[in-house]
Amino acid sequence: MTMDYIDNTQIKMRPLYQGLMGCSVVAAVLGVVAAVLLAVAGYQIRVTDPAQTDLLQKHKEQLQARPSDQALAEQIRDLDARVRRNELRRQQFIHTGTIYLAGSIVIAAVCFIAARSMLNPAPVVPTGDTCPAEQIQRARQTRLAVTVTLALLGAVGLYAALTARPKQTASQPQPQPQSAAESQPTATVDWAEAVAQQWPSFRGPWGDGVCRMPDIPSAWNEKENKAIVWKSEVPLPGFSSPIVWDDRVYLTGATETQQKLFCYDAKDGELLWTGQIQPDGTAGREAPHIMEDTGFAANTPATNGSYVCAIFATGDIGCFDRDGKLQWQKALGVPESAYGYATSLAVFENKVIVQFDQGSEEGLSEILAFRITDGTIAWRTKRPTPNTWTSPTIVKTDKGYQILTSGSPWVIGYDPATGQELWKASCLGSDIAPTQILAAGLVVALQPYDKLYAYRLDNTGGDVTESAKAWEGPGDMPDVASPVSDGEQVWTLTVSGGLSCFDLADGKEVYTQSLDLECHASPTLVGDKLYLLGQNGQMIIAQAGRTYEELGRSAIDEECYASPAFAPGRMFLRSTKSLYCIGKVD
Amino acid sequence: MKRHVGWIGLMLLLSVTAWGVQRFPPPQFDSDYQIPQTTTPMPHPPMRDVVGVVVLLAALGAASWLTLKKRSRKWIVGLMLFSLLFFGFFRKGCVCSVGSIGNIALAAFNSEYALPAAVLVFFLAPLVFTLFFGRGFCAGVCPLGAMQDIVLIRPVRVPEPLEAALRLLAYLYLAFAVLFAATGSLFLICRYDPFVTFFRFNGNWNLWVLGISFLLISLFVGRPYCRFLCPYGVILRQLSRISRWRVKITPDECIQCRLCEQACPFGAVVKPAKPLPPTETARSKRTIAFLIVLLPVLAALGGWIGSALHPMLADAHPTVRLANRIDAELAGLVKGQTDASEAFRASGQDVQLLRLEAVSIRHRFLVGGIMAGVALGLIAGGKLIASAVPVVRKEYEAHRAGCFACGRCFAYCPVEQKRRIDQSTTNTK
Repeated sequence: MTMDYIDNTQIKMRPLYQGLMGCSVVAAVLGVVAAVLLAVAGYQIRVTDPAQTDLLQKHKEQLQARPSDQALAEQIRDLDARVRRNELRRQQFIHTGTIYLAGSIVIAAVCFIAARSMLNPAPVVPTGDTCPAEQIQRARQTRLAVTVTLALLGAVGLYAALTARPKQTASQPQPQPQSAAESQPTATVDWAEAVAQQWPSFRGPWGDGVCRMPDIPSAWNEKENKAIVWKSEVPLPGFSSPIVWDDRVYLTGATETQQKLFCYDAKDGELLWTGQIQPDGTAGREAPHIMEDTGFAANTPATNGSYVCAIFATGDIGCFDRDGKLQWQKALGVPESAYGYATSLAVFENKVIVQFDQGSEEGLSEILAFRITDGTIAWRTKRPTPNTWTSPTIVKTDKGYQILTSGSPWVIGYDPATGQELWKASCLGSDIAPTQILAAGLVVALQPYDKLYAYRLDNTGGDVTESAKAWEGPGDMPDVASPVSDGEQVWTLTVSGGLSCFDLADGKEVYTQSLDLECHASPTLVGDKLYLLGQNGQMIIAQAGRTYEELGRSAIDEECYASPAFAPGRMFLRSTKSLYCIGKVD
Repeated sequence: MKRHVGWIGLMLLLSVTAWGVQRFPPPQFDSDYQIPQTTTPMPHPPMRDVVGVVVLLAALGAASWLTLKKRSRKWIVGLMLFSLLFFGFFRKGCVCSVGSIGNIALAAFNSEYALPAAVLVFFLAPLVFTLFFGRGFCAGVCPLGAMQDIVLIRPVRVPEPLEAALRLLAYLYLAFAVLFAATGSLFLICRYDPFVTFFRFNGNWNLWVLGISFLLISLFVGRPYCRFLCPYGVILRQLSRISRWRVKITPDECIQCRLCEQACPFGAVVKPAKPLPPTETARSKRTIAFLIVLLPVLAALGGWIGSALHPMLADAHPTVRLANRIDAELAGLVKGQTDASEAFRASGQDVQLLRLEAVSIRHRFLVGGIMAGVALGLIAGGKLIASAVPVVRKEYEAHRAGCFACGRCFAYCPVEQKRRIDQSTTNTK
C-alpha cells in the first residue's frame, strides 16, 4: 500500500498554518495583558473598601460632632457619590475585561487547534507484543488497583462515619429550655398532650365534638348582653367552624374571588391579621360548581399552634405561621364534588391531612399529608371512594395514632406517619357528610336517613367489614351533623331537630326527642351536658343521660351553621356575620 | 515546553481575578434614593428552551454522522467548538445533560417537583443517541468535554489498572449526586460543576480553583472529569456497551499495523488478546467464583458504611443543618448565631417541628445511604469480576464503553488514509 504522505515541515511553511499560529500567539499575548490588568483590578477591589476611605471616614466623624453642618453633609454626599462612581467604573472594567480575556483565550485555543489539526500525526510503532502473560499481568494489576481503591474509599467512609457519630450526638443535645415549646425533646413529643387544652380542628382535637375543658359557660344571652365577652365582625361568608389555639381564634371566609383566613385575638376579638390565599389563576380552570348551601368556605381550617392551614372549595390550600405570614400555597385543582368540596383539614404534629375525595365514581380520591412547614408531600394514598363531605379525624389508640375517614362505602383507618391503610369496613353508601367519631374503642359512622354502625378499633387490619362490626342500628340519621358520645350513649341530630340517643354498647335506641330547632351545627358534649345549636342562634343545653332533659336555652341574635369551638372558660360561636366569644365577663 | 508554561501562566493569571469581590454598602444617610426591592429573576422565555432542545437534537445527529459516516476529526472539533460556545458560553452551561441527573432524581423521589420538559429532553436525548450511535454526545456536544478536549496538548497515558480504579470515583459521585438530589438537599453536580465558572465569568474562589485545576490537569491527562468523575458518563458508558452502531478505528479490515495503539489519549484503544493457556483459564474461573462469593459481602459492607455515614450526609440538607445548629445554640455548645438560625428564631417558628422535620430527613438519608452503599458494593464487585474474565480479541478496537468517539484515531489508520485518498480521487474524477 502506498500513500501520499506530506511532511509536517512542509505543512508548517504554509501561509494558513503560519497565519493560524500567529493569530493564536497574538490572542494569547492580548489575553495575558487582559489577565494582568484584571488581576491588578481584582487585587484593588480585594484590598480596598470603597466606602471606608480615610477622607470619607474623617468627614463622617466630623458630621457626628456637628450634625447640623449641612455643608459638611453635602461634602460627604459628593465624596460618596464620587467613590461609588469610581467603584462602578472599576466593576465595569472587570466585567468587560473578563469578556475580552475569555474571548482571547477562545481565539488562541481555536487557532492553535486548527493549526495543529493541519499536521499529520507522527506514526509511532510501539515495541513489544501482546501476549497472554501480559494480559494476565494487566488483569491482576487492575484487580489490585480496584481493590486498593475500594479499601481506601472504605477506610475514608469508615473514618468519616466514626467521626460523624460523636458529632451527631453533640449536635442533638437536650437543649437548655428557653421556652416550653423548645424544651420538649423529639422523643417525648406527645400530640395528645399538646392538644389537650386546644381546639385545633373541626369538632376539637379528636374530631368527636367532646369538650374536655373546664368552666365552659352554660348560660348567655345577646339581647341582655349576658356572658358575651366580645363580638367581632367576620368580613367574608363561610360555613366553616372556628378553631382555637391558645390566644388565637382562626376561621375562614371566601367568595368566588377571595379566599381568606382570619385570625382573632381570643382575649378581645381584635382581628389580628387576615391571610389571603390567592385563587389559582390557572388558565382555563373550570369555575367550581358550588351549591349556595355549601359556599366556598365550608372547610374548617386546622392548626398545630405554630402554623395554621386553610383549604377552600376550589381546592386551593395555604399555610400561615401564627403571625400571618404565608408559608406556602398550593392549588390541588377544583375537586369534582356534587355539592361543593366541604371537607375540613386535620393536623397531626407537623403534617396537615387533606382528605381529597372527588368524582362520582371511585378513582380520583386520595388522602394527602403535607409537611406543614414547607408544603411538601409527606405521603399520599389513593382512596376507594367517590366525593364525600366528611372530614378526617385523628384518634389515639393503644397502638398509636390513626386517621379515621369515612366515605361511600368505606370507613378507613390510616397510619398518620406513612399514610398506609390500616383497616377498612364497608358499610356506607351514597352521599356521606356526617363525620365518624371514636367512642369507647368503637368507631361510629352513620348512613344518612338509615343506620348507625359501630366497629371495634382493635381489629386485625384489612377488610374488617364483618370481623370488627360491633353492631348496626336503624334510625332517623342526620345528613349533615355528626354524632357525639359520652362513652355510654351516642346522640345524633337531624336538620329538622330530631335528637336520637342510642346505647353505645349495642346500638339500641334509648330515646328520640323532637326539638323545635332547625340544626346544621353538630352537637357537642361539654362535661355531662349536650350543647345543641339551632340555626336561629338558640343553644339548647340538655342533660347527657338516658332520658332527655332540657337544662336551659341561651341565644345569640344571628343565624348559626358552624359548630362551636372551645377554650378553657370560653366558647366561640360563628354566626353568618360575626364571631362571638362567650364566657365569664371580667 | 515553553508554550505549555505560557498556557499554565495564563491560567494562573486568570485565577488571580477571582480574588476580587463586589462589596458596597447602601448609603448611610437619608436621601431621596429608593433602594430597589430585591426581586427574583424572571424565568427564561420558553423559546430559549425550545431552541436549546432543537440545537441539542441537531448537534447529536451531526455528532453521530460525523463520528460514524464522515469519520472526520476536523469536523468533530468544529462541532465541539460550536457546542462549547452555544451550550457552554451562550447558554451558560445550563440546562446541561450532566447536571440534569439531579433534576431527574428529585422528580423521581418528590412528586411535588415538576420536571421541566427541556430538562427531560436534555437528559434522555443523549442516552437514546448513545444507545444507537455510541458516545457522539461526549465527542462533540458536551461543553464540559469540549472544554477539556481543546486544552489537551501533551497527553500522558494513564496506566490501565489505575484508570479502572479511578473510574470507581464516578460511580461514587453518581451515587452521592442522586442521594442528595432525591432528598432535596442539593444538586451536587451543578453545585460543583468545574467549568461553569468559565461559562458564566462568575463563581466563588473555590470553584475557580477547581475549574482551573481541572484545566491544568487536562493539559496532560485527557478529559479527567469525563473519565474519572462524570456521573452522566457512567450511564453513557453502559449504554455505549450495547449501542447498535459505534466508532471503529479502521473503516475496513484491520491490518494489525499497530499505528493506532498510541493514538488515543484516553486509553480507549484496546489491543488484540489471545486465548489464555488452560492453566490460566482454570485459575480465572476460580478467581471469578471467589469474587462472586465476595459480592454479597461487598454489598453488605457498602450498605453498612452507607448507613453509618447517613448522619454526616444528612448534614448537607439545610433543614438538618439548621436543626443541629439551633440545638447546639440552645445547649450552649456554640456561641453566636448563624444567619439561618437568626432568621429562624426571628420567624418565631416552632423548634420542635424543625426537629421533627430533621428526623424525617435523616431517615430518608438512612434508607438512601444503605441503597447507595449496596449499589456501590455490587458495582465494585462487578468490576473485579469483569477484570478476571478472559477476553479474546482479534484486532485493535475502540473500547465499547470508554471510547469518546473523538476521532483522533482515524488519521492514524493507514486503511483510513487509503480510503480518504480513494475517495478524494473519486471525487476529483
